Amino acid sequence: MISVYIAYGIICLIFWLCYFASDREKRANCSFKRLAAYYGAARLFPMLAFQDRVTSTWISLGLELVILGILFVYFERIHRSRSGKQAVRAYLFCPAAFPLILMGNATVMTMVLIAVFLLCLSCSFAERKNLDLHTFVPDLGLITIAIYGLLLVTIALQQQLIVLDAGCKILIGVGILRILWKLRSGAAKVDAPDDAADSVAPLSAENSLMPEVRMVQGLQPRERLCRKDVLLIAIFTLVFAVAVFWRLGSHETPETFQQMDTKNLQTSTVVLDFEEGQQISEMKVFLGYQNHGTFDISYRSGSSEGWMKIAENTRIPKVFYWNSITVQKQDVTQLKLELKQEDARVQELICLDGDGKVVRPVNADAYPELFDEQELYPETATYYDETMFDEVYHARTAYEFLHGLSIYETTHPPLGKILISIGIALFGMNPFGWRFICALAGILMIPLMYLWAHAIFGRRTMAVCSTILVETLFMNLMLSRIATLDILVALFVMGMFATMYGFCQALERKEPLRKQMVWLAGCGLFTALAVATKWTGVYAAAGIAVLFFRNLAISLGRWKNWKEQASYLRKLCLWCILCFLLVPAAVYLLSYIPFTRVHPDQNLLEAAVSNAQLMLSYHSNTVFDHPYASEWYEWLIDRRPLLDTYTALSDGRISTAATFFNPLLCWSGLAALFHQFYLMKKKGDRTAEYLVIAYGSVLLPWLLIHRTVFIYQYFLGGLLLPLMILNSLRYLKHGQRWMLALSAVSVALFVLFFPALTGISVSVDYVNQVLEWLPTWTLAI
Amino acid sequence: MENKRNNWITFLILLWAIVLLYMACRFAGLPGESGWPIKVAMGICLLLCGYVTVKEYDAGTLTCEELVKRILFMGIVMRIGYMLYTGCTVRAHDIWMDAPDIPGHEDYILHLLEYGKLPDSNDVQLYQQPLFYILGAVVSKGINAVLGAGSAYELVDATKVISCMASCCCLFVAKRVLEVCGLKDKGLVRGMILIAFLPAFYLAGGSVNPDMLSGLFLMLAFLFTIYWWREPSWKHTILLAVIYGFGMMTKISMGVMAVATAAVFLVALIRALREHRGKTLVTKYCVFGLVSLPLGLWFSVRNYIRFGQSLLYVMPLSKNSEIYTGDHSLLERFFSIDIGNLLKTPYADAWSDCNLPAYQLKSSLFGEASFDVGTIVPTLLLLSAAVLAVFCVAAFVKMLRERIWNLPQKFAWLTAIWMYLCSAWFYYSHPFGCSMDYRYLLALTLTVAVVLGSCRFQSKRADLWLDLTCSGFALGSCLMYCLI
Repeated sequence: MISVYIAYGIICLIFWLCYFASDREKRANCSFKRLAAYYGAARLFPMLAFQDRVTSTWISLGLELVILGILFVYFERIHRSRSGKQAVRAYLFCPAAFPLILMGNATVMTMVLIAVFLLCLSCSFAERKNLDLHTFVPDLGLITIAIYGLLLVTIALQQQLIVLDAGCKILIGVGILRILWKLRSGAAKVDAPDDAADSVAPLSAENSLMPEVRMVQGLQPRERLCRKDVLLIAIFTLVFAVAVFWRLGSHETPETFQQMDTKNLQTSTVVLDFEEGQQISEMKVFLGYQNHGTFDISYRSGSSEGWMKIAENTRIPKVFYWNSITVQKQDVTQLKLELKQEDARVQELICLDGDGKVVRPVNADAYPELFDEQELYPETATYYDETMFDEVYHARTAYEFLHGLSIYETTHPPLGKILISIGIALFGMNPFGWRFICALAGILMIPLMYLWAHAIFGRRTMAVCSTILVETLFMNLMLSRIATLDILVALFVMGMFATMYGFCQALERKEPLRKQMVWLAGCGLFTALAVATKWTGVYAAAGIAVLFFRNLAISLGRWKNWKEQASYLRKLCLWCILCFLLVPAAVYLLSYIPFTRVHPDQNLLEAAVSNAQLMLSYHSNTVFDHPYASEWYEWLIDRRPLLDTYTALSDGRISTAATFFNPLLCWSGLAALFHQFYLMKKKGDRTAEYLVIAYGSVLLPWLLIHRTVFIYQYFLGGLLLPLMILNSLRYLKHGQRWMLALSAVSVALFVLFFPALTGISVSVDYVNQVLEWLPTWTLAI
Repeated sequence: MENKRNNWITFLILLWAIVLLYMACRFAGLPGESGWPIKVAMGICLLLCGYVTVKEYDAGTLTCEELVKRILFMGIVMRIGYMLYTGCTVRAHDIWMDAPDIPGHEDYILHLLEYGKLPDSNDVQLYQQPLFYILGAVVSKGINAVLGAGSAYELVDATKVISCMASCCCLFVAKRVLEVCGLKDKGLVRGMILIAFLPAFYLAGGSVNPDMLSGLFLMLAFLFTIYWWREPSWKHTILLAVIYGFGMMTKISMGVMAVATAAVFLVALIRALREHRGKTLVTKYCVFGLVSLPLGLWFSVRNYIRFGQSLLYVMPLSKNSEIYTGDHSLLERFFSIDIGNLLKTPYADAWSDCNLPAYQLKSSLFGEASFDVGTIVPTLLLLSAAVLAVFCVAAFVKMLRERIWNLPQKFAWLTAIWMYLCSAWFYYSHPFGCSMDYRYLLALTLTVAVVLGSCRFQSKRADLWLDLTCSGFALGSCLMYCLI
């Protein structure tokens, strides 16, 4: 519930920000089309995002239409200012209005109806008394904001926020007192009626449909790309590559394995013999690709005759990982590992004595595959030696794709894992191998960002700063060092937005169709790759579509006789169908080739469709408690990092790596986001508009999705924050100085947090006292 | 001269009034369960004062000077009233602690009363500098001799009269400081509102510990440093030395202010040396040292010789303590303002809070206690204090940008920064919830009041909001401490 409250609050904030940023003429502009759009934004979208909606909430929404009707009729027909649409608009974005609907209570709605009715009556009264209604607007605004706060605390948050709760009540009191004081003191009296101020300036139909949009292409002359830029790109890429590849992962893990299966007694049991009096404290099992096995573990001591159970039905959870089994027994002569459920591929077994030293069983030669790579066991296994977080799914499935084995991870389209498998094919099934392609993708984002930023701002300094900011964004470093799909899809989505920007510029400059087609082809290719890697690519594709049509519409609006351009439009349309429908569909289907190898009974289409059904069902129902799960509004403020790996080392230090954003960029990016709306309205900044649409397309769908989600799902949005920040800073008086200062601080923070992004061993105190900035940041357990 | 004498007479009458009122209440069996008669009396005094003030305002006869007098009166009413209705064990620190064998402040006083000599150990609270306890023991002996009482509680309770006297004296010292810093009219009123109605002064004035007395000496040291700077006469040198001597005899943290005075001494010396008249000044410094150091450090030296206790000793706490905050990040503790915490509850919680600015704001209003008075009044007080804090920061930034200060004002804000840094350092080196309590920082209020009062906002609206916030703060403070 809190999610929709916050979403609605932000929608209202953005509306009023845009409202006050607009000039008087535009403020008055409120056509029915716009009103419908406002209704969609302020009512329908939040309602769809509301997870707990029931029939009564829909009924309340319906009842609200009566209120809207009364407001419209009263102000449009009865009230002399004839501003019904404006009144409805103001009501739609009144912060207290929608939370009352969410209560789904007819009585509440009736009270709102009465309140609106009284408001209308008081307006008539005020008019008769010659009072200026506008003087009461700030007080009414204050009261409605306070009511919103009160509802947020009591209904949505359901927390003991005593000060916020009482503060809202005080604000309501202050608002009422101010209104009474104004009435008593006559501060609201109109000295001289100004009819001109009340009247709404008529706007032409053309204006209302297609407001004039100015293209702001940088406040200074554009610079062309030159050798210097190539050099800078190379330097930045190299620096980031060093950071990414630095201790990326081990090149060696156990490879030989013993296949264990429950059907065969001989292969389902491993019995290890030890010398008498041997102490065994722990066993480490490096599991191969197959499902997590369930084992019984028992032992025999010198004094006893039968087997004594240590653990029953113990599930060894992670693949390509040094799983630990606690034994803690003195005088062990025999140790038995018995597979009870499912098959298991055990690649190495390590037995440790009380001092943590490796003990080789007397009969190790009987199981050569289990004891032939003992030297590969690290004293303390960290991310460097084994899988971390979702690598247990993606790296493993990539391995399965490579070897034509049955497929384990089917909740995302296959392309990303196919790409990961290239790294495994090149470097083997070890951490370096399975992380290589993701690292490469992360590194490729650097030159791409430089070029895109240069295209947007046309200034080298800004391209440099945006590259620095992206390099120090934190999350891209972490995601480049883990074999998951997010960095891959981010690279492709960035490519989509960058190439679409290229197209928009080409359109703006009226470049030949051939050039425009090249940009669209690139965009289509990136779209295909993104969608075939992860479905989040579809959200970005929706954004691309909006950007495409928006820019095309603006261009069409500029043409005096656009019918002459019919041939151009026909070609463009056909090309778009090819680039954005046929190519993505083909790439998507082709990515299912590994499926058809495993399931020869299915063709590509069948495999894709059945997998799509599975994915849809999985992602609709994946709701579970997770300590690092976070909601979309928490992403905006970097509230809960995701801890990917954490290991306490033997020397008292720790190795930890988390996925989160550079707090400086995340928090200033949020401010910049709101500033973009201001720039759009006040300055007509098309770059701001582009960035906002792109950002909205990758964030807004998450408001409608109610599965358990994590901060990395905001990565696509986060990538746009540096551009928004720079776009805001360039309007400042000493913008360039600010950009350089911001970049310097960002680099300093990157250095400060580097250990928590890469898993470098570091003291717990350093993490606790220096890095855990917010109470919700758990970087050390 | 006549004016000065009148001031002294008022001052002495006030001190006697505090003693007599305390004795009268004890005689009447107050505060009893809730001390409501005292609260009603406070309320009547405040309402009458408020009524007269509003009447004068409406009539257009209210001057700023008169308003400051009213504020002083209300501040005194609040301080004395709070002291009278609050027993020495209510909202107290380190007094009659959990185990009977742990010596708290009460043991110090009782030991002085019983044996007539300083404690023979430096256990727990017995390491503290002795002046407050000695004065407290003397006053307690006198009061209890008249009342004929002698229980441990009564003997200890009477010592809070000293804290209350110090708290009331602070008002006069603060007024003088603000005047010396060139504040008048609205500026003086705003500054005095902050000093008069900041509840930390009531709380410290009603408690049995040396914090309030130490705060008074800090303020006096600030005032006399300015006097000395203006006129480095023998009189001012000796007075300043005595203040420092007694101040350090009350609490060793007086040394914080000594650094500010030392800086002034240094600047004066450099100037004098340039003008070839450094000899007299050096002689004055020597006399200053000869007076203040023995007075201020004799007890510390005694403890060093007897127990090997270091000169800057602070009672150590364990890392395993529930109020340990060292496991929180520095940003969380120092460099951010925990808005979430501020919105949650108006009261500070030494067991779970770790953010210095939020804790100091809360503890300056409610100490480390929580009250059962509903939510509106504490929230009003907290919000108005928070807005005042924002105004103070804005005023400070404005001062820095426009360089609109005189020398005492510059000294005030430099001292404010220094004191705040010292408090932050103290919390850094002693990372425990209780280290953040505002009662260690009472004198900071004076320097903040100077900053707040000396700033003029160009926008009339900002000025109006500041006046409204000050009024809200005063109203919240009075309501809060008349209702609890």
